[in-house]
Amino acid sequence: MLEALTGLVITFAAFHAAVQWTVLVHTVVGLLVLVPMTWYVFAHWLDYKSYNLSDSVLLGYVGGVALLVCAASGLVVTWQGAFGTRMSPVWRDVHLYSTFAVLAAGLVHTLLVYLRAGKKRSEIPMGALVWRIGAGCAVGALVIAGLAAVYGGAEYDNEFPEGYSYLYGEDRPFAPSLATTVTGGALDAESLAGSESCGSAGCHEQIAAEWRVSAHRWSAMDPFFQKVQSVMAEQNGPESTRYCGGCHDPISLFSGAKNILVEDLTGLQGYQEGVSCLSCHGVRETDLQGNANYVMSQPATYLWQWSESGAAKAVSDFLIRTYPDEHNELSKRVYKAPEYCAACHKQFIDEEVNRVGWVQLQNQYDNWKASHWFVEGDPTRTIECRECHMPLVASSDPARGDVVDYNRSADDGKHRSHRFLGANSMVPEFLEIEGWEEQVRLTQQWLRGETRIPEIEQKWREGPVIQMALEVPERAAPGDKVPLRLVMTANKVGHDFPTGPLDIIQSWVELKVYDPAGEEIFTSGVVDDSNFIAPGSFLFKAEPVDQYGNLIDRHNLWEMVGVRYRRAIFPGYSDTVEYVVDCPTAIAPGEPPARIEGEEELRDLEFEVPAATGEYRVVARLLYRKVDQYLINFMLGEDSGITAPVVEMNRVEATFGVEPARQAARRGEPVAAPAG
Amino acid sequence: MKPSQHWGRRQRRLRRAAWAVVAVAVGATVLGLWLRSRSRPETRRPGEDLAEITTRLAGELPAAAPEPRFTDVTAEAGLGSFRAFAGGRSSQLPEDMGAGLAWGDFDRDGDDDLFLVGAGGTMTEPPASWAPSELYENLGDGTFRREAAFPETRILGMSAAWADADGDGWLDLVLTGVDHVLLFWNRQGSFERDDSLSLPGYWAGATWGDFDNDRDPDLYVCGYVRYAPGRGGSQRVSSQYDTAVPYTLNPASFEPERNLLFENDGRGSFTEVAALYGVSNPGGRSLTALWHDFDDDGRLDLYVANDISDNALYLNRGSTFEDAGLAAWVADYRGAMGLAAGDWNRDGDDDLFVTHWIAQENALYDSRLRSVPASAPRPAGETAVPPPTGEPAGPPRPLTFSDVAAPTGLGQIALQAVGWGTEFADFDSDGWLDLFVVNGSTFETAEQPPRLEPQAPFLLWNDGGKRFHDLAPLAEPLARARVGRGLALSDYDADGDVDIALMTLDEGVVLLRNDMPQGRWLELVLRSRGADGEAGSGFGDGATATATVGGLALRRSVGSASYLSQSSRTLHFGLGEAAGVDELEVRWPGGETLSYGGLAADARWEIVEGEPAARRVDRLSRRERVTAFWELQRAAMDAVKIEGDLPKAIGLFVQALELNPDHEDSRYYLANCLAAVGDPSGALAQLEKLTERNPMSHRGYRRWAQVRAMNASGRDDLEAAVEALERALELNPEETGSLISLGEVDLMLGDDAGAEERLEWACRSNPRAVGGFFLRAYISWRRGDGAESVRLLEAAREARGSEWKPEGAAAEGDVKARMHQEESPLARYWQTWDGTPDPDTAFAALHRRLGPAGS
Repeated sequence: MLEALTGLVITFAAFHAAVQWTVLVHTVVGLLVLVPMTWYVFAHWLDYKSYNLSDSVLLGYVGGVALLVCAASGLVVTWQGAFGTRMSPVWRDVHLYSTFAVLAAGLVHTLLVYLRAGKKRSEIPMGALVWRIGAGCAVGALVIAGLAAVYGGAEYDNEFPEGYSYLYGEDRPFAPSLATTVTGGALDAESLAGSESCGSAGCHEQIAAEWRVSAHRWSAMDPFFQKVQSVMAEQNGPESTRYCGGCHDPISLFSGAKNILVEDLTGLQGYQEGVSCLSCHGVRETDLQGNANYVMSQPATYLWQWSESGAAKAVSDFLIRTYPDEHNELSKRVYKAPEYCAACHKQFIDEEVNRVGWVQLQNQYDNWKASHWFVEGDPTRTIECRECHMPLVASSDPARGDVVDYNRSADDGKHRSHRFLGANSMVPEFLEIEGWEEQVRLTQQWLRGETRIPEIEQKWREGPVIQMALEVPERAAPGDKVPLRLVMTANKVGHDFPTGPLDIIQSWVELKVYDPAGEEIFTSGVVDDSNFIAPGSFLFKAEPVDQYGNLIDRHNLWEMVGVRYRRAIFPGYSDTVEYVVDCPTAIAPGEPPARIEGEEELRDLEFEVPAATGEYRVVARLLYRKVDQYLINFMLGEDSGITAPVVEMNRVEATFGVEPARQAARRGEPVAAPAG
Repeated sequence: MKPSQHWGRRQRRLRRAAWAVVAVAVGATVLGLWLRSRSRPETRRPGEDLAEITTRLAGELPAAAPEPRFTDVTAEAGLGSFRAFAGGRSSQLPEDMGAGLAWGDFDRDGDDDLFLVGAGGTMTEPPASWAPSELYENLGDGTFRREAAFPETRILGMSAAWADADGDGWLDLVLTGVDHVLLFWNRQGSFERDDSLSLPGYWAGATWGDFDNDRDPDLYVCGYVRYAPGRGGSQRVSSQYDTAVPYTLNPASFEPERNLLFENDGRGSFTEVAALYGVSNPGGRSLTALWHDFDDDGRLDLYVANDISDNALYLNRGSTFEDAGLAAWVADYRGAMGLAAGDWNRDGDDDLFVTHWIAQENALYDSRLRSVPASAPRPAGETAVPPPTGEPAGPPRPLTFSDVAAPTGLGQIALQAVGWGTEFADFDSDGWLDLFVVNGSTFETAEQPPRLEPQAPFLLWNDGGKRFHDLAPLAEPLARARVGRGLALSDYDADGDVDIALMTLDEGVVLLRNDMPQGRWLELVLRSRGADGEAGSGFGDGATATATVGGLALRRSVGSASYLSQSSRTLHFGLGEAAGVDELEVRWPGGETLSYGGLAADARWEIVEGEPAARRVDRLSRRERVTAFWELQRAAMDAVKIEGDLPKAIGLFVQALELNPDHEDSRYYLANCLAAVGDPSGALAQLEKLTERNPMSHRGYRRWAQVRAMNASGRDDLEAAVEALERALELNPEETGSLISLGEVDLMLGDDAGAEERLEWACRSNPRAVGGFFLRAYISWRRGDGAESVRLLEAAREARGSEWKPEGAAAEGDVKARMHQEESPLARYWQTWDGTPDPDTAFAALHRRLGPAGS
């Protein structure tokens, strides 16, 4: 009876520490009574097997069988909880429904026997039986209540540190970030950290391993983030760094670490976990405004949830598996929506931050939404954030399979990768996070468009992320001004290419022209010895400015009021760059023969020397790097020798022939005057 | 029953019995083995803790002991580059004994500045290679800046001390060392070196004290030994505690040097009178001397710490000194180094702490002037120290002292340490004076000779006057072993707690900021009458302040010696939980004792001799300073950006920068405001400070160049602008703003080719570079290429127009209205252009400005 009651409590009561203790008591008592009860059923059958079949006998058989099924299924779910990675919902249902069958059949069976006992009824100690059952249940309830009183799970310190500065008002402790919490107050850092515990004990190990090397994980330990944060604290006030914390460092933000007069604006847990598991899976609501406009909850804890080993950890894991409803709350339908990602992948600054006015910053969401990748209501033509950045991978994870996600099923044996591949190939290497080589390799592959995602191949594009077409004339004459045209088209990218922060990120075209001897006769976009891109290069980037028109070059967004220019390609659109190359005459520029004094003589001479004819080769490469060199120098010193790795995203070549001027003239083509 | 059945049942019983016997036997064997293994005694390990051995003298750390939070802020305070010693040791005594450091407010800005004595360097190397002594100005924000103008001085330095020797209201400095007693006269913040007191000798601790009560500081200088390395040099070896050390390192190898007393005539002229007053202490190898009124008679007495010779106590009897070391039981024969005086047990008299060489323990001489320790036998384990009574001080007795180091926990812990600088201070403001002792061996390390063995210091927390506990091992910056020497204390960051500066031979100066939880506190600055009788011009030297807190008397005196060092003159009182001082009594040097009413806690007070009341002179605490800065800075930013009230903003920025001179945004916006209100030279000066503080400030150089170019009156200005812009471009060659600015200035200088190249680069990267296209069009037009000019003007118009983008798309940098204004010398010409691609009208005004061939 205790088992039935506790089972019902587990099934129907709200999540609570006492219910978790009930699960444990239910399991222990169940195991203890398993053998005596089986024996009793068997003996009872032996005693009465010779009886003629009647209603009460039939009910007895039904109840007995149900009880055996209930016991067996209980054993199975206990086994799964203790030694597996998840409880099979089928077995759980069998256990639940067989309980109902036992109750229904067993109670009626007993009642019938009692009512039909006739004179023998007085021999049945019904009162004592009821009293004993009642007392047993009461003792059980008391034991459970006592256990829950003694230990009710992790207790959090949801208080802001002493002296917390409410610069933007008492009701907006996290401003200027738009992030907030369900309570509006602080959340203990411990309550949002502990990602390692998700990836232990055979549970989400695959997912945790992916996350561990992902940009989400090192969003706070990123040395560039740390430096920008400290510069912002120095120059614009420590409280204003909360602006960054909502997306980069939520654990520190919500625990109140970003405060005035503190040494570290990032707490230990925040530093180590950045956007931790619960930083996303604890979000309850997001707003389309961006700038971390989301509401963070503090998920209820299982008993000993943060234990790292031993029996406590085993109990915690057992509870999560056998009593999983609260845990399952951590996966929400909304997590699939691009609008959910937009909470952080859409950014602006406003008067609260720069004291001047509103400026759009990086915004992957709106550009995706306005692009051809979004077709309302049509999953066969729409590609959402997760489909590219969280492709499906083969999985043995307990979270494998998904019926809510379109184009997927509950048993597809896959989960969405939590590696969140993007464009940052610098920081994993810089931090030397375990597995960085693989992450960098995959990121480079990603940037080149070589990543295969089978489940979206039908609706995605083939080829490089950015297609390039190089147009050159078929032939030219020495001294010609040779026009070259490079057209670049955003092919695979789901948002602007490149996407921000464009004050830091650079993508540019390196173009070189080689003469028939293999000598460079023209270059653009070359990186010099100090790792700067040559002036006059074609760059995709932005030059944001402060109100006096000076460059925002330290990611000092608190001063940004606009841009001088920004250059990025919208999905499916193209950008063109044109070059004019001086086709050389025989005398290379800058090397006039010393014996010739006058310019007149030189000019005469040019026509007499055979021109450098033959096939000229043009090579254009689209390059990408995550952090511009000035920022690196500013952060690490001019002599650090550190530079961002450059990834070649695409490369095209073309050739044109150069024939002597007279031949060209004979063909009636215009002859340009030689460069003077 | 059949026999076979009977036999079967017996067999089953027999089998069961056999199994039971086997089971019991196995169980018993296992149990026995387990019990045996438990009962076998373990072999003793060396150093094993044994319950039978007690260590009552070591003392358990009470639960109430505070956490010793100190932060090593040396580098961030800007003191990280100082080195006390240059080169390696050549195993000579003068290389190993220095040096000290001295806190003093030389620039009269209310905070303590820091003088660091350079101990020199390898004696066999020329003095030019030695480490110099340096003066660091406290900037008031927790950082220091080296006073570059301080006269370069490279000697084998020992000690330094500040005092206003010439009575001009500015602290002068004495610096001693081998063959040097140097005075540095403070001429309103700049220094003049005076060698007139120098004479041959090994001069150690120098201490200022007005022994004749004529209101000018006199100077006592310790002579250590007559160092004569020639007699055998470092090749000869003698022995110290079984350790063979070079003869040249053993002070016992050399004769003691006499000490010097320079009597001040009030104007900075000195007469050496040590022998006359009987204080030359010819038999003592003196290292440190402390002026302190031990017998409470209003005259400064003198205690001299001598290495390997008896210490001396000279009681000031007005016109003479009485050699009272033996009579007062303080003629300590041990190798004494550092000295500190303070009333550690609050019994109303000042006690004396002496640091010693290795294996000699340190000494806490408890004064019996006001209370005598009970001499009756006590149960074992009870301290021999009088319990803190808090009773009002009794009448003075003849001055004697008793060494209570061992029972107070100061003895045994120092056996392995060589102690040097030391001071009493209430580090946690609980009302009881704690002690700090700097340690560092004179022996070489076994691993890395000839480097000296570093040793961790002691932070000796005073547990309510009962005993001391060393908290240093509990805090990393304190637990670190260094070759320490000098020590000087000051609340340099004015946050109400006492911070620590120590001098080490291996790491230079170390500044440890006190971050311990504090009780209530009060700081007191005493301004005595100067020699000329002028009120408030003196520094309170020798004065004693007694604060009554809840019936208890807390005594503090202005004056310190430590080891070769000088602590702050600001007196710090820890008040525990008291909200203030009930009454404060000050005995002015050689003068009257005056009473002042209650003073509130957690504040700094100043008392000027002759004025009836104390006044608050709070410097801001770190929190207050930071909070005040941000209030000003935010108000200033709002004044610029929201209110547009530039004069108001300028005033606020100036105030903010006083609190945080390194703030870049504050300075940048101040400069822009100054430029906007027509003060270009003010703007340029601020931008110069910006690039000086941050040589990577791209905006600093570019803005400087723009302001300079826009206010140019000749080629010099333009060329200076070019230079700054080229630095900006060097810092970030990818940025197009500097390219356009350079193009403009090139154009103004008449360098069309240079201008064209830079402008073209800018236009290639920046498709919205209106100015770039416009000026290129102008150059083409001036060159006579009208078609190209029109083409470029059209490009300029296009660049100025609005950008096309797909519907619903957002681009980084989108704004609702333009909020930035590029200011440059020629910008107004394209900003006022109506967009018509007609060169003749577009360039008329610009051409008038530049002339046919540039400016």
